[in-house]
Amino acid sequence: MIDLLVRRLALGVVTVWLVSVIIFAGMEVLPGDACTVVLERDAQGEVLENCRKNLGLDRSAVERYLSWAAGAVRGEFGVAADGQTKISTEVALRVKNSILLAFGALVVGVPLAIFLGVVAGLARDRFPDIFVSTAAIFAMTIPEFVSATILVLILSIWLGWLPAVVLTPADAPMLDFWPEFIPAVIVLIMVMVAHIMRMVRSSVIEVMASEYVQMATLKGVPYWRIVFKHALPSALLPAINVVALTVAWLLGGVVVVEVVFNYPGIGRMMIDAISDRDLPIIQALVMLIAATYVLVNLVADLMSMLFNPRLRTLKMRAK
Amino acid sequence: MTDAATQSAQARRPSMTIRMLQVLRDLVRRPSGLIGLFLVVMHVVVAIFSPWFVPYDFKALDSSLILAAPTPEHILGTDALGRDVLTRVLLGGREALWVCFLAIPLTMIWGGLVGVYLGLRGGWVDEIAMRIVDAFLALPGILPLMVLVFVFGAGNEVLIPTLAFFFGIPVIRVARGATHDVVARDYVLAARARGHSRASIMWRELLPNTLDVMMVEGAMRLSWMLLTFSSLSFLGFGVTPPTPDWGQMISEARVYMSLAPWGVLGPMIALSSLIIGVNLTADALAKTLGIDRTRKAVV
Amino acid sequence: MSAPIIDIRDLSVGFTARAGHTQEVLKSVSVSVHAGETLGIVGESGSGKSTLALASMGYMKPGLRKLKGDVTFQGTDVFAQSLRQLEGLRGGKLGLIPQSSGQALTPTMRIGAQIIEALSLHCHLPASECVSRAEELLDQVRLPDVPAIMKRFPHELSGGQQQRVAIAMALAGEPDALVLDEPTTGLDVTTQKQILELVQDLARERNMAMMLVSHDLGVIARCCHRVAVMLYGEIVLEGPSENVLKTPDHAYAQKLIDAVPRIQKAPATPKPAKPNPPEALSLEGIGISYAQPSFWEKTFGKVKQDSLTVEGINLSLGKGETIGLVGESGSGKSTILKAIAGLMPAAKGTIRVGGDTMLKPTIDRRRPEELRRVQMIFQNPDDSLNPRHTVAEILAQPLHLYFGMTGQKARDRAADMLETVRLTPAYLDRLPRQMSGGEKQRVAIARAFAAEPEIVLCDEITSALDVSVQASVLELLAELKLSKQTSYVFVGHDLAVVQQLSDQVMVLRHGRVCEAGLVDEVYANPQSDYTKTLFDAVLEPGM
Repeated sequence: MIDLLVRRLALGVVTVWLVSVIIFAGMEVLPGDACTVVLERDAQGEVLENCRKNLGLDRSAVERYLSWAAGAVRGEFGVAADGQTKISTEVALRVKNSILLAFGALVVGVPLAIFLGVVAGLARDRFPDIFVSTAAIFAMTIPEFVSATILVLILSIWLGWLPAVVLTPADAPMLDFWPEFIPAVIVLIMVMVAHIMRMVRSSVIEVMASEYVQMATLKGVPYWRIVFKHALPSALLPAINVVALTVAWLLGGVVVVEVVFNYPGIGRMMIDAISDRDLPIIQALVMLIAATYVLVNLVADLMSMLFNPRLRTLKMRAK
Repeated sequence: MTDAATQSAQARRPSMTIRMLQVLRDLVRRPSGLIGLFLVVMHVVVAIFSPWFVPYDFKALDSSLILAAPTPEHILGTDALGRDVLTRVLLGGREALWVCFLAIPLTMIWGGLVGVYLGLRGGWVDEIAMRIVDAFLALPGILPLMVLVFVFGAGNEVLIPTLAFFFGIPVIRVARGATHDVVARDYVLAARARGHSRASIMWRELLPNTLDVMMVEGAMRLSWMLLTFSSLSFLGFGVTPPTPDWGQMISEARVYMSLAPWGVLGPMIALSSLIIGVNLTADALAKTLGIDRTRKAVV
Repeated sequence: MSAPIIDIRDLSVGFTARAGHTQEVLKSVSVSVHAGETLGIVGESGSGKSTLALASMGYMKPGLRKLKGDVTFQGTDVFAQSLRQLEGLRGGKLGLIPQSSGQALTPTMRIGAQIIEALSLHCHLPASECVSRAEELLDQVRLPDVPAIMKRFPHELSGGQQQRVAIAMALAGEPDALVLDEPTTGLDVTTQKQILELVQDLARERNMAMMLVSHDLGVIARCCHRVAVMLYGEIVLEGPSENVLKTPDHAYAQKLIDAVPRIQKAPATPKPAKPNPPEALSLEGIGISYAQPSFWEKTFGKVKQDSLTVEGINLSLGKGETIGLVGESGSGKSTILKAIAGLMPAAKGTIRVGGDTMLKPTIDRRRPEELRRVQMIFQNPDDSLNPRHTVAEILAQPLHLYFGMTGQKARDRAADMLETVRLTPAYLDRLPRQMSGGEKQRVAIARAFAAEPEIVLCDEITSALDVSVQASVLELLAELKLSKQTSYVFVGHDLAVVQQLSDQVMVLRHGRVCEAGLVDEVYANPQSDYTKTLFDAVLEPGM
């Protein structure tokens, strides 16, 4: 078990390292650097060279990668292209807001998705299933900015219940986002519930058709006891990995939703950084998001191992 | 004798076509497949022929008709620059369809071939390649696209290869997984035991038997690619104005939504119906071919 | 005679195929089982025997429905019961022992919890007594170290142990009748024997009525008082086992019983001593390790050297001879075949074909000509033919690879090959799914022989087939061996089948040779204890 944990962690570290190489190399290959961005038209001759010297851009790519990576490991990403804002402070603020958004969506979305998935799976091809499944296809295919627009049209413009956009500044305390962030959460929930629900549904269908459910029926176990004691513990295992992907998606900057609702999370920070050509911020955000992705998936794998007796002992035996 | 010879030489080709026709027939027998295909075909037809029947010039400005409500002359009203919304809605899917329909085959071919090869090859090549795939999957989905478009512009020569590249990464994983299912079968073992080359095993044994999974995957990826394309366009990283595009139109019309809500409706319905159509088709295709995509975690 | 415990009268079960057309799975079936009696239901795949067994518990697989007839259990009409009453009946007075308990036990529940569940549902015991009663039951089915087993999950037990747990679970409800649905299929012969003995003892102690469904006439003969033979959803013959199995009064039943291979204790005509044929295949000191070093282990030098799964295999096979490898699951018999084929590299030892050519351990280091000389036929024909290729394409593959044949030439040759395995050229354009299991296996045989091999490796090639089909496939193999002078390495778990085809035999256990020699000698006079146990466990009709 420990062996496996260490191995998975090592693989995660390798992945994050590869991401850092890809990002750094990618930014290297793209034309322009921090100095050409800041100086714009004046980026010529001596001025440019001086600027590069000041920022340390005249060093070799390998040297710059090493110093950048060394900072990244400590959580220091230097200053933004404007030369003043400390990236880690600004990012921390946005991360906090993004977590708030993700938390809101998860708390409501995950239980709802599991409930709907189980209901649809048990009632396979009958009314509740057809209704829920069809709704899910719509929810997962309609673009986020379309559903967001419809929501704003109804909640803000026609009913006037909520403001159309979030006006609270990025550094406001979390509670200030209530109730402004509700429409954003609703849009996110629609998409994630559809994905998780579909997964749970087919897993439930598969398990309910399994031989051990048939055996339990022929053992005289009442239906609802079969569902809860025999079927769901197996059927919900695959949900762990999908929920993990959802968490990674939510924490990875839901750009469109944040832009639509003007929500100050990392998604908007990302798009602003691109428009400003702020390479250090982009690099920092990508590293953070990639690390989150790897970590969340790692946790999910460990959790499914913990809850699945089959995996648990197989791995232990293999050792 | 010659008759028999030509017959046998062609024996393979018709069987493939017949299979595809069978799949199509089973597809339209499902309500979701029928509706989905209808929507997709409708959009494709409109996209191809719309330049010949749109009522107005899509860039014609009319300062007397800014944000005008629907009238018989302008069925969907006009936008903030006084352009006819209906015209722009009819033309607004052309770029998206063109780019995605070109990019998807590229995506599936490169992702599929690499994935099948890795699934068969195994060993250290596979191990290293999969780490790189993991690293790309960890990148925040839309960001690399935005950066590349921002730097190189939103021309098709940028968008098509970029979309195909980034959408191909998860396809590698799916193709590799599908290959692992096939590689374990005895007929692949038998081919290996006979001493067939790796290329021959890929071509004869693996590709035909992963084709179903890849078709469903391709249809699914197409709907996500259309979604991504329109999101980029909505965020201002897509088609260059004044070329009409739904995502961009929604983004522009949103600003005046409280004054002229009809401006968003046209493009929203058009875009949603296209993506839903593709998705319904993909869903029906998966059911027809007996592939449950949802069982495997979405990547 | 008292009233029967399970009484099935004129039962028809079917499903709606398409456009309202009803397909019958069971056609007016009537059988009954009395207390203390065991009824055997035998038939080949698709005969409806499992459907009948489940119907006796008032259960039908999704999609099936009762068309007419009644099932009564101790006088009550099973299909007229409410769901609530059925729940009380199933697992209570009427227990089921399923086909493969590995699939039928809930993977996420501990063994103890599953038995306690059955107890609390049907015996209404206080919780405190449940545990001790569950332990008692597990003890009754002769499981060792009961307290430890209670805490295990199903996948942590062996196949035989899982089956014992299922029996204990059925006993929890103090049943008057048991339905056994292929209870020993997939188990090794020695385990099968133990399980059947256990079930019989329990039935005798409790005077239970049993309905035993099996495809294996040996199992039926061992356990049953009465036998019903099923064919296409109908009972074609029913009566006391003595009569049915010895003097069947029905053509199909007769054919079924005749097709069962039996061990010949003393060969009627001892095989004539052949003049020493030239050597076709020899293995010297072969050792195989299952632990394939992974990329990480190779890189970090963690390759384990200690455990060889299979070790010390020596054999020498003459042209036109057959050696049978027998043993229970995990004995390494299939692994040896894979090593000869190069699919799993031998860690040590040498493999020689035709007396001179040394074979490299892996396929990619063997020359095409070397590969041609050794061909393999696999266990499951559903799995060994590419579902997307027609028979012509399947057969063209070795022809193209080894002889460069293409187009019409390959097609003509493929047609010839089909005739050798007694299929018509009409099969050339069929896909595997358009053929029966026996036909598919013939195509697989034709594919192997298309390479004109000297050695053919047969991996349990008849175990996925029905008995009657098995007999004809074995006959075909014997013919081909004679006409082509091919040598076979034949892996099997059925001692009678192995005897029928082989000149030599090698008995394997845990990857080591237990006993080896000429078939006639080993079968007449087995030396090792393990071989004797294997022979003891064989069940044959009419023994």
